[in-house]
Amino acid sequence: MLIHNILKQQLVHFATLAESWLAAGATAVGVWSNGSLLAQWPPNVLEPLSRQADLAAVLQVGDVELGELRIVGLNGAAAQQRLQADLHLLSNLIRLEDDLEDMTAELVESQDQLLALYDLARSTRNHLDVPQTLRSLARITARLVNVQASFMLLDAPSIGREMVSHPVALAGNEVILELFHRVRESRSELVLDTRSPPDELPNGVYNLCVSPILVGGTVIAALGLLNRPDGFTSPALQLVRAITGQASAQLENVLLHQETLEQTKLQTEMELATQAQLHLLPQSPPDVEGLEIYAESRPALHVGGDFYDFIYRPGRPFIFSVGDVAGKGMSAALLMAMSRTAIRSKANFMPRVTPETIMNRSNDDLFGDFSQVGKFATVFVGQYNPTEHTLLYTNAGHSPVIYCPRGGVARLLEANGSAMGMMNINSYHNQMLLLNSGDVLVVGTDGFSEARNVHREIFGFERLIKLTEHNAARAAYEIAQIWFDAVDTFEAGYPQDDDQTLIVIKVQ
Amino acid sequence: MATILVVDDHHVHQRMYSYTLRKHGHTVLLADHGRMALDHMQDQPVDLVITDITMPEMNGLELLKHLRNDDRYSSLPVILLTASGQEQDQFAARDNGANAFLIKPISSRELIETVLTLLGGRIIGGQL
Repeated sequence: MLIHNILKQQLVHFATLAESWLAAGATAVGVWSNGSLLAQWPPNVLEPLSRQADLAAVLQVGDVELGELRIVGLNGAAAQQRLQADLHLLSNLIRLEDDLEDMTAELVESQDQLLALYDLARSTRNHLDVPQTLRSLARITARLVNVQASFMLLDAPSIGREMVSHPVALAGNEVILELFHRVRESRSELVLDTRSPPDELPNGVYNLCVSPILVGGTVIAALGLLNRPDGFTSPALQLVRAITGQASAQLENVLLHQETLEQTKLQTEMELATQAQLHLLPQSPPDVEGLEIYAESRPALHVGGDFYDFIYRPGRPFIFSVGDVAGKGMSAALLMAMSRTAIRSKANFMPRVTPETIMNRSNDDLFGDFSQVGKFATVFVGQYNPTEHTLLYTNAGHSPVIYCPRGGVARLLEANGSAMGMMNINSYHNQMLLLNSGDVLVVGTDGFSEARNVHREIFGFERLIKLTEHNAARAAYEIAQIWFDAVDTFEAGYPQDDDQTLIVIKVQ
Repeated sequence: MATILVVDDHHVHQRMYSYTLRKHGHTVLLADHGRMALDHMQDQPVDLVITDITMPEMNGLELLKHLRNDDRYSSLPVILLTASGQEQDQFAARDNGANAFLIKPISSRELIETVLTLLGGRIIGGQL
């Protein structure tokens, strides 16, 4: 608080005070400090300089003596008392003015912060893409905090690492990364300047501030500010903290938006995959003389590993298949499509085709691919001969396959070979079943037999065998619905765990 | 550094602009309205005027017209301030020869940048 500044700021008050003394009979009024005359009234009068003052009093604010007010031409105890009172009022005024100046500084600072945040929010709110948001934050912050350069580094698991510098990279990528690791570990801002240990500042940088940006309690980014001419003073750091708070909210929005986009994209892809897979399955069963056929598949997820197929072309035997690729989801769906295509092409084009040749050749084709990913598929392939009323079949590890003769006891048709893709040997052989009128064959997948209820009990083969036996007189469609309904009831709200697929064939 | 006259009937705003300008080394004169501003300018030359638009006695636009009609001040840089941000204010400011137009609230950075820009072409106190 220099007397020169106070005089400059409060000149009007000093002048008013001096005028009142001149009006009261004083011939000159002067403000002195350290033996020098700083101001005088009337101007250019020589008296305060030329002779000793008649009255003098010290101007003191708090404990600090700022100067002295000297008056020429008046004296006496009353005048001295008035001078003391005037200076007391003046010192109070100066102190209040000083307080007001501090409050104004705080007000300006707060308003600047609010306006900076408003600017930042306005400039970044339309950016929903990560690099664009980082560039925008780096650019605006450099301007708001008045630094030569800035950088933003984001390291989020869902996005990876992104780094931008504005307007130029004053520090190399490795240095920025090291600074980021430091603030990520400490979770607090890092300020370096020429007083910091040597070699901590990058070449060409005389001060820097790196501030961590937290999203959901985790440091996922950092804002770096390089070369601030006024240094990273307390108000500047407060502004930086306010900006990083805003940046945190903005980045959280952007990441959420990205996540939503990814999910939507994935959802769309899954829906397309579902549609594609549904189209791989026959839309309706073929019209085969002497057989009533119904088929249905209900995947547990959007896509699944179950399939069924009918291959029936003029001059060729009627062949059907039901398969179940181990696992669920997209990988199972891809292998399911490959398996179905392999079986279909053999059934369509091989000479002297039988289930055995289809399975052996398909296993040859697919073993390499399946073994590479450690998967396999259980498959049932059947071939119906309407003249001889026989069913040739090969069961590659597949269950449940239930045969129920008319009025007889239902039973499982056991597997007679290992699952496709499991072994690199062609061990499949044809089995034959005589089919008579009223006989029922249900080829399902383990989504039925291994369905679980809330107690984690499985539905099991026995229930399926009994269901088939008790309802064998019904139509193929009804038998299928009874299977689905029974398993749904058993699961009783427990989510479907696996794909459920079946073909029901009833001999007419 | 420059001598800048701040004209605003809102004393808190006066103080805030004055604080920012003084912090950057400028000398600041204060006036509550256009008439008082003209009186000050009779006593002391100024390098730039920052004036609010809405004020009693003589508003900012009237002050601007006075200055532009006076040969001594026809090229004096004048910044007009308004709280409304209405387009007609901006058009009126431009049409009457204002050099800049700022909408309140004004950050210290915006104020200083505008002042520096307007003073940039002039040599004041050998500093700029």
